Amino acid sequence: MSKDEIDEIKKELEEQKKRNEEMARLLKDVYKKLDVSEESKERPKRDLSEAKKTAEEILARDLYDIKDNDHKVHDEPIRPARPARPARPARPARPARIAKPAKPAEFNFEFFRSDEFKKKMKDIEKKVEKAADEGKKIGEKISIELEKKLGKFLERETERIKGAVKISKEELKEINSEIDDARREIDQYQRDMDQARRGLAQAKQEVRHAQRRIERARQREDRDEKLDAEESLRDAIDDLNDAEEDTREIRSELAQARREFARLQRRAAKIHHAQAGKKGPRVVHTADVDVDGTVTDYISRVMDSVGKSMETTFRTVFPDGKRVRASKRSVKDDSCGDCEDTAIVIDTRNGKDHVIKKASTFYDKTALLLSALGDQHRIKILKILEESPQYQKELAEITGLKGGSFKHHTDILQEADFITREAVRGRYLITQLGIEALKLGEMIYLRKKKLENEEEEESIDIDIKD
Amino acid sequence: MMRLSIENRPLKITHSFEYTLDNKQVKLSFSKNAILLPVFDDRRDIQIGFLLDGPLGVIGDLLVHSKEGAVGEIIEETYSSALFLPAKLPFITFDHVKEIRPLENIEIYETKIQDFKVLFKYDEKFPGMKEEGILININESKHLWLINKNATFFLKPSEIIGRRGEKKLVWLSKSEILTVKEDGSLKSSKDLFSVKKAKQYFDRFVEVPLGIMFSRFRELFTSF
Repeated sequence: MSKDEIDEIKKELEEQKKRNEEMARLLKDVYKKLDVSEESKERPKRDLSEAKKTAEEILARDLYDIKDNDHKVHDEPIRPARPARPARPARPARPARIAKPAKPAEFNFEFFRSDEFKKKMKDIEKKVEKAADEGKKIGEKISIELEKKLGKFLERETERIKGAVKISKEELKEINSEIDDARREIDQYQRDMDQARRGLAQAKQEVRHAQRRIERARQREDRDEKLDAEESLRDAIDDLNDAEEDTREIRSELAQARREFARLQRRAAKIHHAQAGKKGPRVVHTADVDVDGTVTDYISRVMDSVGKSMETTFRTVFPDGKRVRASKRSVKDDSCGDCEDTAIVIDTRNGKDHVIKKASTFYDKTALLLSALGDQHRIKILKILEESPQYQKELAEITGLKGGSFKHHTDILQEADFITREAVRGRYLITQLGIEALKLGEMIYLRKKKLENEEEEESIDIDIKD
Repeated sequence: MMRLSIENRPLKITHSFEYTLDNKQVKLSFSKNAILLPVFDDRRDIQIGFLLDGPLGVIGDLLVHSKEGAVGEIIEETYSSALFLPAKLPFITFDHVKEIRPLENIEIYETKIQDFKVLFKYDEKFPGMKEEGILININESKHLWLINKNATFFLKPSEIIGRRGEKKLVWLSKSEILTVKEDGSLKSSKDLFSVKKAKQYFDRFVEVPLGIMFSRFRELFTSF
């Protein structure tokens, strides 16, 4: 084996060392990057054993190749050893280069079998193992340091939280007392509110009472009583307005108190959670249900409107002679001087001529509508249809009308919009107007009957006296 | 969303006739020479209905008897074209129709049918999708008739009227909700909440699948 070759091998070994060092460095990096868990610690071990195995396999294969080559070499004639050359001056260090696969002809296989080679190989293996151990130690060291740091961090945080809890305990006491105060305040407002509501109800009742008094006075034509009742109505309305104002004020105050109470409660809950070491309650933005009584207000308004619409309906069905406001004025028939109660209320916003036109329309239409009621058969038809819709045949049978006569009556009723007819099946139905007309007829009839009864009673009395 | 297409296998109505539907609430009038074209759902590749080109008269008795008189309306409408669902319609029989040669101007109908696709989604629960009910969809006026064995709904952008059986009725307009219950009692509401509720129904007129809308109507009927 020449000196050059030995030098080359030495260089190769140095390169190997460098690689080992690199490996150790890489391992350090790996430990840094990986978690410090048991599994992650074992991973480099596994990698190392696999690397070892691979290296062994490669070595075995090389040896096998060498043996083959050995056979081949034996077939060739053995050359005589060359004479030793004179020593050359030392060359400057060459840059590291990748080891080329040695040509079988240039190898001296005795070197590979020599103890020196084996020793070197063992040394390399030892160094690799040492590097791996070092890497492992570094990894452990890092994990320990990390744990220490984490422990310190945790301690610091715990102390901070404990401090916060100490503060929050004092705060909690204060807030609890504030909550109690707020609760008492709310109770007080609630009582005031109840009282105000009672007052409101009473005021409303008084207004209603005054209205009834006026109505009674109007019926009895008692002027003094009416004036007195009107005065009391005015007073009652004033009281009602005051009561409403009070209620509104108390309601707003109550709402404010409730909001404050809710805020305090939320804060207390937050502190309570902090003390328990839990996360604070999640902030959920929920609408406070009827905190300021808006829903109640809204419902009462809706109920009022429903009441008013019902009242209007009843007034149209059973008119009580109520006058219409501002832009409308009553038009009286000149020929009827005393019939104030029967004055017709007509819209006069479009001038005097319009009034006459409207009035004539009113006379025509009313006459037409009332004439539609002016037959017993037609009233009978309306009365039957009030119960349920009827086919032509059924209706004709019940009323005893036939053919043209039946058609004549039904046409009049249809023209007055008192009845209608289905398009598909052809049944007759009574309309809302028809029901109202029927009720009007019934009302007049009952009134008349009552008057007649009274007259009869009077005449009987007279007879008895006579 | 359903993608609709038509096939050029037209049918022609041989003579004018009227047909009263099973619920006795709606009557349809067909004119002579009106053309019916089969409509297909492209995705499922099945026939789902017919496109009618020709005057169609629809009369609906959407009024019921209540304690306060008749409530509702008699709707009488005439349309120039309409989409009918489902494919098996009781009035399209060979007594009234005959097959004719494929149309030359089929492109007109192909574009016409494309306009219908935005109006509804496929929903099995929807009465028009089954043989139990009939849907008449009019694209020009955005009118919609939903008719099944017991109920009729008429929908148009400004109001919806629904009648169920002999006694129940719902009438939604922009400013009022009016309902008649089975006992003949009438309930009318003009308050803001109800109007808002009604408005919501109208707003969802196009966007909501009709099956869902139909079930909402059913809910309305039961709740009032």
